[in-house]
Amino acid sequence: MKPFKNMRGPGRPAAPATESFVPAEKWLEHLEEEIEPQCLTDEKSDLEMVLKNSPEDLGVLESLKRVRAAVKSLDDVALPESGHYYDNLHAKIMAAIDDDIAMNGEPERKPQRAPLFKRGLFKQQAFGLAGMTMMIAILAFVGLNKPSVTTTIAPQASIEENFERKIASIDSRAGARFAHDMGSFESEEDFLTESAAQRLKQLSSAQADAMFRSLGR
Amino acid sequence: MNRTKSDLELVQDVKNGDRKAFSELVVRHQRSLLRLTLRFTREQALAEDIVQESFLKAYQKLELFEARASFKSWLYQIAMNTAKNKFRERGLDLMNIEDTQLGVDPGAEVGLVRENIQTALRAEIDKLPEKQRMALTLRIFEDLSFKEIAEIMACPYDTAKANYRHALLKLRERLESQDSVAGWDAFIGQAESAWDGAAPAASAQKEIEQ
Repeated sequence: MKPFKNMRGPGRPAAPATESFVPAEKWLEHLEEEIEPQCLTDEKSDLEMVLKNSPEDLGVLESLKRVRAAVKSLDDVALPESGHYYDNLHAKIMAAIDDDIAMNGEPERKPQRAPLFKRGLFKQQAFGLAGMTMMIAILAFVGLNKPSVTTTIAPQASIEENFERKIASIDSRAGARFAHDMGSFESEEDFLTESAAQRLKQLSSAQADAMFRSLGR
Repeated sequence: MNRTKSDLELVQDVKNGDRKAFSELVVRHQRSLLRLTLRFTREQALAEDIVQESFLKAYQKLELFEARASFKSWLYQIAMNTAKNKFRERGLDLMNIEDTQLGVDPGAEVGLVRENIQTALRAEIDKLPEKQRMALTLRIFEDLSFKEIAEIMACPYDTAKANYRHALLKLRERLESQDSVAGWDAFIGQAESAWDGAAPAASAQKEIEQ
Protein backbone atom coordinates (compact mmCIF):
# COMPACT_ATOMS: atom_id res chain seq x y z
CA MET A 1 0.00 0.00 0.00
CA LYS A 2 1.42 3.34 -0.99
CA PRO A 3 1.96 5.42 2.15
CA PHE A 4 -0.01 8.69 1.95
CA LYS A 5 1.96 11.77 2.71
CA ASN A 6 1.60 13.80 5.86
CA MET A 7 -0.98 16.40 4.92
CA ARG A 8 -1.00 18.22 8.21
CA GLY A 9 1.39 20.78 6.81
CA PRO A 10 5.06 21.59 7.17
CA GLY A 11 6.48 21.53 10.64
CA ARG A 12 3.64 19.49 12.03
CA PRO A 13 4.36 15.91 12.99
CA ALA A 14 2.39 13.11 11.40
CA ALA A 15 -0.80 12.28 13.21
CA PRO A 16 -0.76 9.50 15.78
CA ALA A 17 -2.84 6.45 14.98
CA THR A 18 -5.98 7.76 16.72
CA GLU A 19 -6.08 11.15 14.99
CA SER A 20 -6.90 12.12 11.42
CA PHE A 21 -4.04 12.59 9.01
CA VAL A 22 -5.67 15.54 7.32
CA PRO A 23 -6.76 18.67 9.24
CA ALA A 24 -10.50 19.21 9.52
CA GLU A 25 -10.15 22.49 7.58
CA LYS A 26 -8.92 20.59 4.55
CA TRP A 27 -11.80 18.14 4.79
CA LEU A 28 -14.20 21.05 4.90
CA GLU A 29 -12.67 22.48 1.72
CA HIS A 30 -12.97 19.08 0.10
CA LEU A 31 -16.58 18.92 1.19
CA GLU A 32 -17.33 22.34 -0.22
CA GLU A 33 -15.47 21.48 -3.45
CA GLU A 34 -13.50 24.68 -3.26
CA ILE A 35 -10.06 23.19 -3.59
CA GLU A 36 -7.95 25.35 -5.86
CA PRO A 37 -8.05 24.06 -9.43
CA GLN A 38 -4.29 23.64 -9.72
CA CYS A 39 -4.34 21.30 -6.77
CA LEU A 40 -7.42 19.49 -7.87
CA THR A 41 -5.88 16.49 -9.53
CA ASP A 42 -3.07 15.72 -7.10
CA GLU A 43 -4.65 16.83 -3.87
CA LYS A 44 -8.08 15.39 -4.52
CA SER A 45 -6.67 11.99 -5.38
CA ASP A 46 -4.51 12.11 -2.25
CA LEU A 47 -7.56 12.94 -0.15
CA GLU A 48 -9.54 10.10 -1.71
CA MET A 49 -6.67 7.77 -0.88
CA VAL A 50 -6.66 8.97 2.73
CA LEU A 51 -10.40 8.40 3.02
CA LYS A 52 -10.00 4.83 1.88
CA ASN A 53 -7.30 4.08 4.40
CA SER A 54 -8.04 6.24 7.44
CA PRO A 55 -11.24 5.66 9.41
CA GLU A 56 -10.41 8.68 11.55
CA ASP A 57 -10.35 11.01 8.53
CA LEU A 58 -13.52 9.45 7.22
CA GLY A 59 -15.06 10.16 10.60
CA VAL A 60 -14.06 13.82 10.44
CA LEU A 61 -15.57 14.21 6.98
CA GLU A 62 -18.77 12.49 8.02
CA SER A 63 -19.11 14.68 11.11
CA LEU A 64 -18.74 17.81 8.97
CA LYS A 65 -21.46 16.52 6.66
CA ARG A 66 -23.72 15.91 9.65
CA VAL A 67 -23.26 19.39 11.05
CA ARG A 68 -23.93 20.98 7.68
CA ALA A 69 -27.07 18.91 7.23
CA ALA A 70 -28.25 19.81 10.70
CA VAL A 71 -27.81 23.53 10.07
CA LYS A 72 -29.59 23.21 6.73
CA SER A 73 -32.51 21.55 8.47
CA LEU A 74 -33.14 24.79 10.36
CA ASP A 75 -34.10 26.45 7.08
CA ASP A 76 -37.79 26.95 7.59
CA VAL A 77 -38.44 30.13 5.65
CA ALA A 78 -41.83 29.85 3.98
CA LEU A 79 -42.15 32.08 0.95
CA PRO A 80 -45.51 33.03 -0.53
CA GLU A 81 -46.12 31.02 -3.67
CA SER A 82 -48.83 33.06 -5.33
CA GLY A 83 -47.90 34.92 -8.51
CA HIS A 84 -50.48 37.55 -7.60
CA TYR A 85 -48.49 38.30 -4.42
CA TYR A 86 -45.34 39.04 -6.40
CA ASP A 87 -47.23 41.16 -8.93
CA ASN A 88 -48.45 43.26 -6.02
CA LEU A 89 -44.99 43.47 -4.49
CA HIS A 90 -43.55 44.57 -7.83
CA ALA A 91 -46.26 47.22 -8.20
CA LYS A 92 -45.55 48.52 -4.68
CA ILE A 93 -41.83 48.80 -5.43
CA MET A 94 -42.32 50.64 -8.73
CA ALA A 95 -44.88 52.95 -7.09
CA ALA A 96 -42.35 53.83 -4.39
CA ILE A 97 -39.83 54.70 -7.10
CA ASP A 98 -42.42 56.85 -8.93
CA ASP A 99 -43.21 58.70 -5.69
CA ASP A 100 -39.54 59.32 -5.07
CA ILE A 101 -39.07 60.67 -8.59
CA ALA A 102 -42.12 62.91 -8.21
CA MET A 103 -40.66 64.32 -5.01
CA ASN A 104 -36.96 64.48 -5.83
CA GLY A 105 -36.72 64.16 -9.60
CA GLU A 106 -34.85 61.50 -11.53
CA PRO A 107 -31.47 60.57 -10.08
CA GLU A 108 -28.59 62.03 -12.06
CA ARG A 109 -27.41 59.57 -14.66
CA LYS A 110 -24.35 59.72 -16.84
CA PRO A 111 -25.20 58.29 -20.27
CA GLN A 112 -23.33 55.06 -20.62
CA ARG A 113 -21.93 53.62 -23.82
CA ALA A 114 -21.53 49.94 -23.97
CA PRO A 115 -17.92 48.80 -23.81
CA LEU A 116 -16.16 48.55 -27.16
CA PHE A 117 -16.30 44.80 -27.26
CA LYS A 118 -20.05 44.92 -26.74
CA ARG A 119 -20.61 47.37 -29.56
CA GLY A 120 -18.79 45.26 -32.11
CA LEU A 121 -16.52 48.16 -32.95
CA PHE A 122 -13.70 46.54 -31.14
CA LYS A 123 -13.51 43.83 -33.76
CA GLN A 124 -13.24 46.36 -36.57
CA GLN A 125 -10.65 48.39 -34.74
CA ALA A 126 -8.72 45.28 -33.80
CA PHE A 127 -8.54 44.12 -37.41
CA GLY A 128 -7.57 47.59 -38.57
CA LEU A 129 -4.85 47.81 -35.98
CA ALA A 130 -3.59 44.34 -36.81
CA GLY A 131 -3.47 45.21 -40.50
CA MET A 132 -1.55 48.40 -39.87
CA THR A 133 0.88 46.64 -37.59
CA MET A 134 1.52 44.02 -40.24
CA MET A 135 2.14 46.67 -42.88
CA ILE A 136 4.59 48.49 -40.64
CA ALA A 137 6.36 45.22 -39.86
CA ILE A 138 6.66 44.37 -43.57
CA LEU A 139 8.00 47.80 -44.43
CA ALA A 140 10.48 47.66 -41.58
CA PHE A 141 11.62 44.22 -42.69
CA VAL A 142 12.09 45.38 -46.26
CA GLY A 143 13.84 48.51 -45.11
CA LEU A 144 16.29 46.66 -42.93
CA ASN A 145 17.13 44.10 -45.59
CA LYS A 146 17.34 46.52 -48.56
CA PRO A 147 20.52 45.92 -50.55
CA SER A 148 22.87 48.81 -49.89
CA VAL A 149 23.79 49.60 -53.52
CA THR A 150 24.78 53.18 -52.86
CA THR A 151 27.06 52.26 -50.00
CA THR A 152 29.17 50.07 -52.23
CA ILE A 153 29.48 52.74 -54.84
CA ALA A 154 30.58 55.57 -52.55
CA PRO A 155 33.50 53.78 -50.88
CA GLN A 156 34.47 52.33 -54.20
CA ALA A 157 34.61 55.85 -55.64
CA SER A 158 36.65 57.18 -52.74
CA ILE A 159 39.05 54.24 -52.92
CA GLU A 160 39.30 54.72 -56.68
CA GLU A 161 39.95 58.46 -56.32
CA ASN A 162 42.63 57.81 -53.79
CA PHE A 163 44.20 55.15 -55.92
CA GLU A 164 43.96 57.35 -59.01
CA ARG A 165 45.82 60.13 -57.28
CA LYS A 166 48.47 57.74 -56.17
CA ILE A 167 48.90 56.31 -59.66
CA ALA A 168 48.71 59.72 -61.26
CA SER A 169 51.42 61.00 -59.04
CA ILE A 170 53.67 58.21 -60.30
CA ASP A 171 52.54 57.93 -63.89
CA SER A 172 50.21 60.56 -65.34
CA ARG A 173 49.26 58.42 -68.37
CA ALA A 174 47.66 55.82 -66.07
CA GLY A 175 45.11 58.35 -64.78
CA ALA A 176 43.04 58.46 -68.01
CA ARG A 177 43.13 54.73 -68.44
CA PHE A 178 42.09 54.29 -64.81
CA ALA A 179 39.01 56.49 -65.24
CA HIS A 180 37.96 54.57 -68.34
CA ASP A 181 38.18 51.22 -66.61
CA MET A 182 36.49 52.36 -63.41
CA GLY A 183 32.86 51.74 -64.35
CA SER A 184 33.23 48.23 -65.82
CA PHE A 185 33.60 46.17 -62.63
CA GLU A 186 30.84 44.66 -60.50
CA SER A 187 32.63 44.68 -57.21
CA GLU A 188 35.23 46.66 -55.43
CA GLU A 189 37.58 43.69 -55.13
CA ASP A 190 37.43 42.93 -58.86
CA PHE A 191 38.20 46.50 -59.77
CA LEU A 192 41.06 46.90 -57.39
CA THR A 193 42.61 43.59 -58.27
CA GLU A 194 42.40 44.17 -62.00
CA SER A 195 43.59 47.75 -61.71
CA ALA A 196 46.50 46.76 -59.62
CA ALA A 197 47.40 43.94 -61.97
CA GLN A 198 47.25 46.19 -65.05
CA ARG A 199 49.25 48.91 -63.48
CA LEU A 200 51.87 46.69 -62.02
CA LYS A 201 52.49 45.17 -65.43
CA GLN A 202 53.42 48.59 -66.80
CA LEU A 203 55.51 49.90 -63.98
CA SER A 204 59.22 49.57 -63.80
CA SER A 205 60.61 48.07 -60.67
CA ALA A 206 61.75 51.46 -59.44
CA GLN A 207 58.34 52.97 -60.02
CA ALA A 208 56.68 50.02 -58.32
CA ASP A 209 58.93 50.42 -55.29
CA ALA A 210 58.14 54.10 -55.12
CA MET A 211 54.45 53.39 -55.38
CA PHE A 212 54.39 50.86 -52.60
CA ARG A 213 56.42 53.18 -50.40
CA SER A 214 53.87 55.91 -50.90
CA LEU A 215 51.08 53.51 -49.96
CA GLY A 216 52.72 52.82 -46.69
CA ARG A 217 54.04 49.33 -47.43
CA MET B 1 -36.57 35.59 -30.88
CA ASN B 2 -35.52 38.30 -28.41
CA ARG B 3 -32.46 37.40 -26.38
CA THR B 4 -32.91 37.81 -22.63
CA LYS B 5 -30.73 40.67 -21.45
CA SER B 6 -28.24 40.13 -18.65
CA ASP B 7 -28.45 42.08 -15.41
CA LEU B 8 -25.51 44.23 -16.46
CA GLU B 9 -27.16 45.08 -19.77
CA LEU B 10 -30.36 46.04 -17.98
CA VAL B 11 -28.36 48.23 -15.60
CA GLN B 12 -26.78 49.95 -18.62
CA ASP B 13 -30.28 50.55 -20.02
CA VAL B 14 -31.46 52.07 -16.75
CA LYS B 15 -28.43 54.35 -16.68
CA ASN B 16 -29.37 55.40 -20.20
CA GLY B 17 -32.85 56.38 -19.01
CA ASP B 18 -34.91 53.22 -19.56
CA ARG B 19 -37.03 52.73 -16.46
CA LYS B 20 -38.67 49.59 -17.82
CA ALA B 21 -35.30 47.89 -17.55
CA PHE B 22 -35.36 48.45 -13.79
CA SER B 23 -38.84 46.96 -13.63
CA GLU B 24 -37.37 43.81 -15.20
CA LEU B 25 -34.60 43.76 -12.58
CA VAL B 26 -37.24 43.95 -9.83
CA VAL B 27 -39.13 41.02 -11.30
CA ARG B 28 -35.95 38.98 -11.45
CA HIS B 29 -34.68 39.58 -7.95
CA GLN B 30 -37.63 40.39 -5.70
CA ARG B 31 -38.30 36.78 -4.71
CA SER B 32 -34.75 35.88 -3.73
CA LEU B 33 -34.36 39.21 -1.94
CA LEU B 34 -37.56 38.56 0.00
CA ARG B 35 -36.29 35.11 0.99
CA LEU B 36 -33.01 36.57 2.24
CA THR B 37 -34.65 39.32 4.30
CA LEU B 38 -37.33 36.96 5.63
CA ARG B 39 -34.59 34.65 6.82
CA PHE B 40 -33.15 37.39 9.01
CA THR B 41 -36.29 39.28 10.00
CA ARG B 42 -38.83 36.43 10.28
CA GLU B 43 -41.59 39.03 9.77
CA GLN B 44 -43.18 39.19 6.35
CA ALA B 45 -44.34 42.81 6.55
CA LEU B 46 -40.91 43.98 7.70
CA ALA B 47 -39.22 41.89 5.00
CA GLU B 48 -41.44 43.49 2.33
CA ASP B 49 -40.54 46.97 3.59
CA ILE B 50 -36.85 46.14 3.45
CA VAL B 51 -37.18 44.73 -0.07
CA GLN B 52 -39.05 47.84 -1.24
CA GLU B 53 -36.53 50.18 0.36
CA SER B 54 -33.60 48.19 -1.05
CA PHE B 55 -34.87 48.44 -4.61
CA LEU B 56 -35.54 52.16 -4.17
CA LYS B 57 -31.99 52.71 -2.90
CA ALA B 58 -30.62 50.64 -5.76
CA TYR B 59 -32.52 52.81 -8.27
CA GLN B 60 -31.33 56.01 -6.63
CA LYS B 61 -27.71 54.93 -6.34
CA LEU B 62 -27.32 53.00 -9.57
CA GLU B 63 -24.52 55.34 -10.67
CA LEU B 64 -22.43 53.92 -7.82
CA PHE B 65 -22.73 50.38 -9.17
CA GLU B 66 -19.54 49.74 -11.12
CA ALA B 67 -20.10 46.11 -12.12
CA ARG B 68 -17.13 44.89 -10.10
CA ALA B 69 -19.57 42.55 -8.37
CA SER B 70 -22.78 41.10 -9.76
CA PHE B 71 -25.92 43.23 -9.52
CA LYS B 72 -27.50 40.56 -7.32
CA SER B 73 -24.61 40.68 -4.82
CA TRP B 74 -24.77 44.48 -4.76
CA LEU B 75 -28.52 44.36 -4.17
CA TYR B 76 -28.09 41.81 -1.37
CA GLN B 77 -25.52 44.06 0.25
CA ILE B 78 -27.97 46.97 0.16
CA ALA B 79 -30.68 44.74 1.65
CA MET B 80 -28.44 43.55 4.50
CA ASN B 81 -27.46 47.11 5.38
CA THR B 82 -31.08 48.27 5.17
CA ALA B 83 -32.17 45.42 7.42
CA LYS B 84 -29.45 46.23 9.96
CA ASN B 85 -30.58 49.86 10.03
CA LYS B 86 -34.22 48.86 10.52
CA PHE B 87 -33.31 46.61 13.41
CA ARG B 88 -31.08 49.25 14.92
CA GLU B 89 -34.06 51.63 14.88
CA ARG B 90 -35.97 49.05 16.87
CA GLY B 91 -33.10 48.57 19.24
CA LEU B 92 -32.56 45.03 18.05
CA ASP B 93 -29.59 43.12 16.69
CA LEU B 94 -30.24 41.72 13.21
CA MET B 95 -28.14 38.64 13.78
CA ASN B 96 -29.61 37.78 17.16
CA ILE B 97 -32.10 35.03 16.44
CA GLU B 98 -33.46 35.12 19.98
CA ASP B 99 -34.97 38.51 19.25
CA THR B 100 -36.90 37.25 16.26
CA GLN B 101 -39.88 35.02 15.86
CA LEU B 102 -39.17 31.53 14.72
CA GLY B 103 -41.02 30.78 11.51
CA VAL B 104 -42.23 27.21 11.80
CA ASP B 105 -44.12 25.55 9.02
CA PRO B 106 -47.55 25.09 10.58
CA GLY B 107 -48.09 21.89 8.59
CA ALA B 108 -45.02 20.14 9.93
CA GLU B 109 -45.16 17.77 12.87
CA VAL B 110 -42.55 18.96 15.31
CA GLY B 111 -41.58 16.40 17.91
CA LEU B 112 -40.40 17.61 21.28
CA VAL B 113 -36.97 16.05 20.86
CA ARG B 114 -36.45 17.55 17.44
CA GLU B 115 -37.60 20.96 18.68
CA ASN B 116 -35.14 20.79 21.56
CA ILE B 117 -32.29 19.89 19.26
CA GLN B 118 -33.18 22.64 16.84
CA THR B 119 -33.32 25.09 19.72
CA ALA B 120 -29.92 23.90 20.90
CA LEU B 121 -28.52 24.24 17.41
CA ARG B 122 -29.95 27.73 16.97
CA ALA B 123 -28.47 28.72 20.29
CA GLU B 124 -25.04 27.52 19.16
CA ILE B 125 -25.39 29.42 15.89
CA ASP B 126 -26.43 32.47 17.85
CA LYS B 127 -23.21 32.37 19.83
CA LEU B 128 -21.12 32.67 16.67
CA PRO B 129 -19.60 36.06 15.83
CA GLU B 130 -21.76 38.10 13.46
CA LYS B 131 -19.60 37.68 10.35
CA GLN B 132 -19.32 33.93 10.85
CA ARG B 133 -23.08 33.65 11.25
CA MET B 134 -23.66 35.70 8.12
CA ALA B 135 -21.22 33.65 6.05
CA LEU B 136 -22.80 30.43 7.33
CA THR B 137 -26.32 31.65 6.56
CA LEU B 138 -25.47 32.85 3.08
CA ARG B 139 -23.60 29.66 2.22
CA ILE B 140 -25.89 27.02 3.64
CA PHE B 141 -29.31 28.65 3.35
CA GLU B 142 -28.88 30.83 0.28
CA ASP B 143 -26.50 28.45 -1.50
CA LEU B 144 -24.26 31.31 -2.52
CA SER B 145 -20.70 30.85 -3.72
CA PHE B 146 -17.83 32.25 -1.64
CA LYS B 147 -17.26 34.84 -4.35
CA GLU B 148 -20.86 36.08 -3.96
CA ILE B 149 -20.60 35.99 -0.18
CA ALA B 150 -17.41 38.04 -0.33
CA GLU B 151 -19.16 40.61 -2.54
CA ILE B 152 -22.17 40.87 -0.23
CA MET B 153 -20.09 41.08 2.92
CA ALA B 154 -17.62 43.44 1.21
CA CYS B 155 -14.64 41.36 2.25
CA PRO B 156 -11.93 39.39 0.42
CA TYR B 157 -12.76 35.95 -0.94
CA ASP B 158 -10.47 34.18 1.54
CA THR B 159 -12.03 36.05 4.44
CA ALA B 160 -15.51 34.91 3.42
CA LYS B 161 -14.25 31.32 3.19
CA ALA B 162 -12.47 31.61 6.52
CA ASN B 163 -15.59 32.98 8.26
CA TYR B 164 -17.66 30.08 6.98
CA ARG B 165 -14.99 27.52 7.84
CA HIS B 166 -14.58 28.81 11.39
CA ALA B 167 -18.36 28.84 11.89
CA LEU B 168 -18.88 25.26 10.77
CA LEU B 169 -15.86 23.90 12.63
CA LYS B 170 -16.95 25.67 15.80
CA LEU B 171 -20.44 24.22 15.51
CA ARG B 172 -18.98 20.78 14.93
CA GLU B 173 -16.83 21.06 18.00
CA ARG B 174 -19.76 22.15 20.19
CA LEU B 175 -22.28 19.71 18.77
CA GLU B 176 -19.96 16.71 18.91
CA SER B 177 -20.14 17.06 22.63
CA GLN B 178 -23.92 16.74 22.39
CA ASP B 179 -23.85 13.22 21.02
CA SER B 180 -25.27 12.07 24.31
CA VAL B 181 -28.42 14.12 23.70
CA ALA B 182 -31.22 11.70 23.21
CA GLY B 183 -32.47 11.57 19.69
CA TRP B 184 -29.46 13.42 18.24
CA ASP B 185 -28.45 10.60 15.92
CA ALA B 186 -31.99 10.16 14.67
CA PHE B 187 -32.31 13.91 14.17
CA ILE B 188 -29.07 14.02 12.21
CA GLY B 189 -30.14 11.04 10.13
CA GLN B 190 -33.36 12.82 9.16
CA ALA B 191 -31.49 16.04 8.51
CA GLU B 192 -29.03 14.31 6.17
CA SER B 193 -31.86 12.71 4.20
CA ALA B 194 -33.62 16.06 3.90
CA TRP B 195 -30.34 17.70 2.77
CA ASP B 196 -29.76 15.12 0.04
CA GLY B 197 -33.28 15.58 -1.25
CA ALA B 198 -33.27 19.37 -0.96
CA ALA B 199 -29.90 20.06 -2.60
CA PRO B 200 -30.94 19.34 -6.21
CA ALA B 201 -34.25 21.19 -5.69
CA ALA B 202 -32.47 24.23 -4.29
CA SER B 203 -30.14 24.33 -7.29
CA ALA B 204 -33.05 24.09 -9.69
CA GLN B 205 -34.88 26.89 -7.89
CA LYS B 206 -31.76 29.04 -8.07
CA GLU B 207 -31.52 28.43 -11.82
CA ILE B 208 -35.13 29.50 -12.32
CA GLU B 209 -34.58 32.71 -10.40
CA GLN B 210 -31.44 33.47 -12.37
